[in-house]
Amino acid sequence: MRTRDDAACVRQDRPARSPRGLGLALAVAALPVLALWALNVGHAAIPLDRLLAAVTQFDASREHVILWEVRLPRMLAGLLVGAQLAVAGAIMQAVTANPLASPGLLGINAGAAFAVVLAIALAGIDGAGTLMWFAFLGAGAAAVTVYALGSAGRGGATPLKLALAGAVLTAFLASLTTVILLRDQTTLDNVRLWSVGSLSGRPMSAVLTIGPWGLAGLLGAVLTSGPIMTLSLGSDLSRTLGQNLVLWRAISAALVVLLAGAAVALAGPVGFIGLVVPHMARLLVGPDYRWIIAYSAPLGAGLVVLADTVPRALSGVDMPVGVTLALVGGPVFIALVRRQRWNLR
Amino acid sequence: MSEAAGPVRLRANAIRVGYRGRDVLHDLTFAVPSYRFTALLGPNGSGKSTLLRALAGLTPLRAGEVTLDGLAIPMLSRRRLAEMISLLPQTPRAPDDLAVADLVAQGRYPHRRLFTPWSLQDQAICNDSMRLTDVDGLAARLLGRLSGGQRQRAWIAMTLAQSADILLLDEPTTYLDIAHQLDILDLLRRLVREQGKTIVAVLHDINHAARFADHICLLKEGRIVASGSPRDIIQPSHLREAFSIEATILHDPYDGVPVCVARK
Repeated sequence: MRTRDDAACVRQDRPARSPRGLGLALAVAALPVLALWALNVGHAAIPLDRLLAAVTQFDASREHVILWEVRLPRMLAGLLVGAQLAVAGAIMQAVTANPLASPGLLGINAGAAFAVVLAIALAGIDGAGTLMWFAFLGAGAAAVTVYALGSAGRGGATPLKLALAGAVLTAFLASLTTVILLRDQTTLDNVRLWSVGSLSGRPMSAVLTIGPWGLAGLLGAVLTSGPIMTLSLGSDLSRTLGQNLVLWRAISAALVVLLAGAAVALAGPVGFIGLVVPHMARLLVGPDYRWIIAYSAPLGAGLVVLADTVPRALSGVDMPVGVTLALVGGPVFIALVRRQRWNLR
Repeated sequence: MSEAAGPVRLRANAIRVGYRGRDVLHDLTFAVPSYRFTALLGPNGSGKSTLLRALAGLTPLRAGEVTLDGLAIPMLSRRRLAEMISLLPQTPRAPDDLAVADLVAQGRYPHRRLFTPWSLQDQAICNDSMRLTDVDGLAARLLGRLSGGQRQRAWIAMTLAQSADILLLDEPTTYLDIAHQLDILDLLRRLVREQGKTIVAVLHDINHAARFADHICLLKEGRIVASGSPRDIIQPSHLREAFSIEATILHDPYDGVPVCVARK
């Protein structure tokens, strides 16, 4: 039936179910390995046996404190933020039938970051739990604004118009954010966090406060990935298949706000993950969003931890993960664009 | 015609549908004949697709109502409606790298709940749908690798997997070559005869409607010009009124089916 040539040039058949499941298991299994490596790398390398000792026989030595107070929260934040932004991007691409949709490009991250900066600068709020609600608020307001801007005029919310509206809002909010940050004369680290996204200096308390919300968002996304797949087939089909379009669009939007808002509250507006990872997942598993969402979580988590750790391992430079991802993500994104024929209309 | 037809289930009562300032359907009344293959015919812009979408509850009405088993459609949830009516849009779209079986499985959506796992019954219904439409050998094939006719049959398999009694199809034969067109029309006729489905399809070819449909509804400018059996409808006077054409009606020497030859 299927010749070797067919398989070699264009995939004709769907990949079988079991390799997809196996690949997912591998992706998830790779995370602990990556996580251990991330704990190991830093100004002072901590070998594996001493990592274990910090858990089993914590002795409040400098090494153990660094591990618990610096590297562990940083690694956990990386895993969470990566998984959340990637899954948020996957949901957005499904619901808007828009290959360019992502929390970064459509202004959700910028909205969340702006709201947080506003809360810090104007109201002097500094609790991670309170700031998170500002991030949700900002993400939600940005989503509504971009959708309203993007669907104005003829033809409704086309992918191109949504992307343009997102780019405009992002640029606008980013400059406002910069203005506030420059006026505020806060530490350079803070500026960095809220303009490009960074994992450094996040306290464990922030991870423990915000993490559960992100995990809830991830769980919600996995549980609703079936209806999200049906939603991705377009409004006509989804309605004739009996889907309550308004309800499911609202649920999807709420999930995106939850995932992206919590991610920004933890690490600032980290770009590219939400855009690139769902496309990587799609190349691996095909167009079924149940699989894309399932794959996006471990791939996104792994990629962010990797991007945060590799510069430290190679040169000892503590580069903000947002910068690393923009450097790597740009070329990867171009490669993805060239592989796919996108109908942007 | 009416002797074997069951009670009418789907009915449009004086519906008025419009886009922006313009009315597309003018107080149109139409009872869908049950267990029949009905063809909607009419010139471009006559409101065929709009009528079909109104029957599926996809278009807001300015006046009148569409009823299913006596209940106005807005009274039913989308899911309940989808259990009884399925609609195949004119150019349905799905990713090229989606497999046939995965597309067909989407048809089970109205019968499943958020946390119910995929059941053996769901799978059996999908398999039956693919067998009926002759795409069962292509289950793992990606949509982008199918011919136009195969792809259309895969879509029909998805609508069948919905297990609805009433199937509404918008131009199911457009863009297909003649052999595939006949293939699809024959499939639709078999679904009515053998599966007891009620089918309404927008068609463009008068002769295909004459040959395959049990009932023809002729539209012009948002109104029904004539509605009845092919023999009653395929008449020079009706065709002149609907399409502004002069036609001669011949009869196929093989089976007596009316054949329309349009001259001008």
